[in-house]
Amino acid sequence: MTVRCSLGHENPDGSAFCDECGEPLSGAAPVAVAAAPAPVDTATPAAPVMTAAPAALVARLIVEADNQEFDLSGKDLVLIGREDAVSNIFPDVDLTPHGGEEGGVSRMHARIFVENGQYMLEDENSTNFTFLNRQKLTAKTPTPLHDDDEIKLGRILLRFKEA
Amino acid sequence: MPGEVTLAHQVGKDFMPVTGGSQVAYVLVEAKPTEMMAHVRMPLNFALVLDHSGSMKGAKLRNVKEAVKMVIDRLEPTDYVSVVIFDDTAQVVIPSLPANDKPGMKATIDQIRDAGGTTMSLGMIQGLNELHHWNIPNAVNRMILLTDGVTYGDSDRCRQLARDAASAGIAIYPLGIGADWDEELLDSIGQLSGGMPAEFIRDPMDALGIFEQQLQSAVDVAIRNSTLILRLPVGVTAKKAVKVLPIISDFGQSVLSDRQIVIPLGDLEKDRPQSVLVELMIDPRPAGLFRIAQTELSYDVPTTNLVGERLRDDIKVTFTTDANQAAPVNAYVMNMAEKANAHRLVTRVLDEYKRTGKATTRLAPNVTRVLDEETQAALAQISQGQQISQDQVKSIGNKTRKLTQRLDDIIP
Repeated sequence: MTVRCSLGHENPDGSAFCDECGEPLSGAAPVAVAAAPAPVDTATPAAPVMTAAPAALVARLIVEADNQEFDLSGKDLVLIGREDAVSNIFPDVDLTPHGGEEGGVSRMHARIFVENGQYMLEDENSTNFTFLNRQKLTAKTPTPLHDDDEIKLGRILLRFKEA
Repeated sequence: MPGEVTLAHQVGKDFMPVTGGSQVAYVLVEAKPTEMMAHVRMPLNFALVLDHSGSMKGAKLRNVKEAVKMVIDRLEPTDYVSVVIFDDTAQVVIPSLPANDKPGMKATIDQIRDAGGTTMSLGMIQGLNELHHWNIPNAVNRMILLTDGVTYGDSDRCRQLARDAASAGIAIYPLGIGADWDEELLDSIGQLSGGMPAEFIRDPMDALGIFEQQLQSAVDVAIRNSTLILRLPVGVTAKKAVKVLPIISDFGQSVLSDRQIVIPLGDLEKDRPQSVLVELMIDPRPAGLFRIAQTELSYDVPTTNLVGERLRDDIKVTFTTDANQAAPVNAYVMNMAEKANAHRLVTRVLDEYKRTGKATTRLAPNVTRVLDEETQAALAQISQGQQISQDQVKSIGNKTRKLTQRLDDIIP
């Protein structure tokens, strides 16, 4: 059985870090960052012991054409576009292997971020626009995202799923 | 003979889930001399081989001379010391002698002046000659090799001399001062000789402190020639082994073989554990207690004339179907794993940057959070296509090796 990092690299079960890109893997150990151990005898529900990323939010972005999933859980900000090393653009979700260039996806196309526990979608002044459920978004205008929403970047279809 | 050294281990998870598939287990092995060795102090046989080329002029040479005089002051009369200076040629300014006439030796150090270019192998040859001069029983033989620049035309010769030193039981501890020395060469010399990778003297005023650490490290040696072996049963294979204490150092694939991992640890210093983080691949197991490895440490205790002593330790894990039981994780072990991982990635970024002037690898925030501010800032600059100075490259490379020495971010 394997565990995948957000870039899709496969790793053996129980791995704490991706062998390929070093990304911490969610199935693995939460790492302590100066949190005090929980007192076991209190009546209140357990204080955090060794928490990793803060988020209780779980969400995914699915490329409709090939069913590739990107895990958005625990991330406050996700940039979506096409990677271009020459211009130093490295989006978190790179649509190049999913027909991004032919599909009219800009290098910096859109961003998904979390505000007060709500996922938001924002177009980054893209050339071929961002559509939410077939409605074209005004550039730089954050719009709330809901489970099962359809996001179109240029001609590329994505689905947003929230747990 | 039990008692001189402790060989201990911790596992990432004492209870692992029964999954029906293969999974990774993290093991942290530690070797440390015990209290029994507290009074041990073996005689030192030191050669200080110092670059005095023109570029060392001014604060660098001044501070190094003071640092050397400090070392001479702190030696015992039973320690032997020699001092070699090199530029285009090499000169033995203090031949190997017991540290008796300290005023005389320090006066000689004061006479050292900066001079020509740099041919480091000549300095190393003279240093090795001086170290071979006397046969001092049970001595800790070390060369401290200091340079501020690049040596001309003899890098391969330097590497060969480092290998020769290892065969003769002499470890080289390279020190690079300033921003212009060759990291790759100095690190190789340290590692090939069984010493350490290069230490970085960023500011001339740091020289005194670093020479002090070098001296203290040699004084603290209690156990020599230690080797750690992990023997693996059928169904367990080695994925990776990385030293994490005292500094992070990746052994690569060479230490891994079919049924065992063999790691030379060299000298063990009092109060300074050597720790190795091992990743093992475990084939599917049913519920129950299993031994996943047996560690063995072999070592010498020169002060009691013991050679080839052995210690063994069994590493066991319980497989369980109880998900709650399999949930807890050893925070200390995983903290070491996180830091080793950060070191691997920072090294990858720096290597690419040094080769090509930029870096395409991006580091996730979860990786950079264990790094200090200077390192994070420099990496951010590189990822935005900006340049950083040679001095910064050396500084963050050096600091990232020492990530594991900081313990303020672990639950006790």
